[in-house]
Amino acid sequence: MSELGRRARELLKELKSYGTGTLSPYNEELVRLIFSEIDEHNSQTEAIVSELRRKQAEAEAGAAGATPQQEVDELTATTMCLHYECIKRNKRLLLIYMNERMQRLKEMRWTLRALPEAQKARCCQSEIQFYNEYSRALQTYMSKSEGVGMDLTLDTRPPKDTFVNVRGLKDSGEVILSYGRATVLVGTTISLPAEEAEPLLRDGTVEMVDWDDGFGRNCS
Amino acid sequence: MIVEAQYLLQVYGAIKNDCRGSEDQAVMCFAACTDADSVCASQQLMNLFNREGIFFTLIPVDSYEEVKAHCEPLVQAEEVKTVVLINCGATDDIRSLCELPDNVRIVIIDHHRPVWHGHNVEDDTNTLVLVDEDDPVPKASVPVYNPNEQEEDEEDSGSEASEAEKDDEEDQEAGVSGDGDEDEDDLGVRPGRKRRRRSTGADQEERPAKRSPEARAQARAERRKLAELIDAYYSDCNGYGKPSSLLLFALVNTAQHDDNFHLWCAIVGLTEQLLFHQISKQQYNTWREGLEQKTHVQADPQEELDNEAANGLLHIPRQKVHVEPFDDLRLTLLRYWTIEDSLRYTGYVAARLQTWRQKGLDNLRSLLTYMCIPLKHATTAYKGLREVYNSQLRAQLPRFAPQHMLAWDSLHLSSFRLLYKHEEISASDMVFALLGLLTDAKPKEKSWHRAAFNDASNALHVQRNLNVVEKGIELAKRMCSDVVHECGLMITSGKVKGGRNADYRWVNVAESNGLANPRFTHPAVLKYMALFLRDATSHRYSSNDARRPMVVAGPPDEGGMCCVVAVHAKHISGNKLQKNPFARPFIETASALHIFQQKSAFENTTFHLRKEEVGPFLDRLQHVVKEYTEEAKRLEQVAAA
Repeated sequence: MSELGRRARELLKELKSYGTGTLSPYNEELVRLIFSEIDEHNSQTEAIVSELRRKQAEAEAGAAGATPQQEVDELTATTMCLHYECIKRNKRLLLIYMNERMQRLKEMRWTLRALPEAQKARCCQSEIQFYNEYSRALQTYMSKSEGVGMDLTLDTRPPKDTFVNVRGLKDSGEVILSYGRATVLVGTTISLPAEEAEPLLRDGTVEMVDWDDGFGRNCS
Repeated sequence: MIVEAQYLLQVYGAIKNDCRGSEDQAVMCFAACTDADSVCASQQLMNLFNREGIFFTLIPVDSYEEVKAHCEPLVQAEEVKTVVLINCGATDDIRSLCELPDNVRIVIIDHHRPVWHGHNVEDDTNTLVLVDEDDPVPKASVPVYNPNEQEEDEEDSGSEASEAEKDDEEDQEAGVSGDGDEDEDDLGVRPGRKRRRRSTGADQEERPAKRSPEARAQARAERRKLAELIDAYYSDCNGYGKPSSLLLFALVNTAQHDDNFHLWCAIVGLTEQLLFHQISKQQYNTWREGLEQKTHVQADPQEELDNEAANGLLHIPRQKVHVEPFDDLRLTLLRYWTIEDSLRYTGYVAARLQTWRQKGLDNLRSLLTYMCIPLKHATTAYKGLREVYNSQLRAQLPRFAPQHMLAWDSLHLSSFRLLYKHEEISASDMVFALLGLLTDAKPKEKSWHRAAFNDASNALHVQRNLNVVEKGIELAKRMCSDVVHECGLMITSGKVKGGRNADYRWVNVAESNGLANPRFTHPAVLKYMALFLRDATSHRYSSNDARRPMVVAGPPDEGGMCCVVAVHAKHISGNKLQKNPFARPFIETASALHIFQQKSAFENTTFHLRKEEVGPFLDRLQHVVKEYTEEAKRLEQVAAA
């Protein structure tokens, strides 16, 4: 048995090292090893339980009519707890791994609108299947015939107005907009159409200014 | 062209037409990021632009060099463009400074005075300076610009032949651009716009083809008179005009976009000017009364009727925020401090009682005791105090303050407060919160002044950024206590130069412990400090006429630049300009020492110098001011004779 929970930890570290916008290659080998570790813990636990049952049966046979002895010695109890906690921990870390990958796939559907080939190559079969099903469900929801009839992936935040105000987070120079030119500098505020602000918001050049028209007229 | 407030809507219409008729539809706005008035004015303008669907870029700036750098792409611009300057640009020839072409319209909303007289050209619809009729320096007091004044001066010294030649040249030019019947109000006409400063029609008609010696002498006398007028204008009209936020409130009101938010912005801008002694109390009251009427309009009586009609059903009020007039105590951040601390760090009280000394503190505690406020409660947070102590403070202060050398008139003012749900904030608290945020210097961050400006802008939206307001208030508390402690230390250790009868007093913060405090590099904090030092030093001499103007040189910032500010000595009553006598001495001193400013502030009594230049500057300033005083005395004697 390897160091307890080390593999699951490595799995998550690997995913974390890839940043939020990308996926790490699905590490099938490590996942299989974690499962085998869980199996090993399970078999150990089963061995202890069967041993306990055997002792219990012997005790019952030896002293028929007497009250059966239910007590387990401290060492056995601790060992059982340890194995059980290890199983739970590995399970938890595996679920985090799967969930995080799933969230990133969803994020890609919303921001990139399609799964890039490079990312697709890093997914396992079931992840690709999940992505396709999610994409299909979203598509249906956005369709005119069965859903709301608008492309919800255009905005990262539901727009309140056709124009938005944004504030520069880095000096990225001049940008060409539909109404003219604007220079994005740290701390400058720019008003522009919501759809043109979206790419700038996505790449972190600007941030949205929470604007309300007067005192709370336009705020939620 | 100087535009009066009655034409605000036409100016706004011209901006809209420029935007719609041009390929580049965005308005470029620059706002000075050193005062609260700019924050309020820019928020009002942004709000208006947002409502009307006008695209804009707002750039907070702290010097003319920064404005120039941002305007560089416009130098070669061919399309029509509008640049709006908030609290900057009025005192200088901004077009030449930024080398802006004629197709760029400049609209200036600035409270700094004097307005550069070159802006006072009726035909120039490219550069519009907004000055209200009730401004302390109205349009009528600005000398009319004569674009030929320099040439004519040369002409005086030249030969007659050269004069005739020049006359011919001028006649030719007048012939080319002599169609000077452009309608003053027709600001929207853009195509083929060209500045016609030279084509003042009246001049051309009256001017003879060749002047006789009498006519030349008369012209020379007129020019001399005009030069004297200009000289007097630049000597006597240094100070502050109507707050930009008040002017913009007039615009949004005329455009029927006004609401409580705009009203609050105007109130904050106005209160800042009073707290910084930039306007007289009479002038404040005149403008305040106008705003008070607006609060009644904005209060919306229909809301009360709706409330009654709702009969307990879920009701959403129309105005989530309520602004109302009230009589406020002029104690700094009282609601967010303890009574003792608020009294201790209020500039007026601290200067009078010298609260940085133990004796002063004892006096303060004596006042509290007279007012029957136990010291235990005086040191408890005001918000946690029982109502009885609050009312006791208000009831007893008018009675016992005069016994402790404090005038009741200086301890209260008619002001406004903003009510939002269960929160309440007074206009003066808001000013201090904005100043706290604006002056929160972070030397390691490159564009901290822009971040500070944006924080202050956010703080104005109290209903969603109450945490930012609270942060600002904490910073303001620190600022006030730092100023009182540092200035107290400077006074006790004799760092304030100039004696009882000096023309002015001055201090170099770099020679004190304040050197390490980055807050003291900000001009607004230095001005606050100067006002406090001015009052505190005069009270040390226990004489009413011991008040002198104050010059404060700040410590060097990370770039090695020090800020020098000056404040006037005496309050001028009536709706008059609070004259600052240091504008010209500063310029003369700098030119005498051949100091080239690397960073030009927006007002002429704030100078940024390199740290090695501060010492010589302060030394030289003494001689220059002495010369000015002697000259003034001589003129007085001549006038008396």
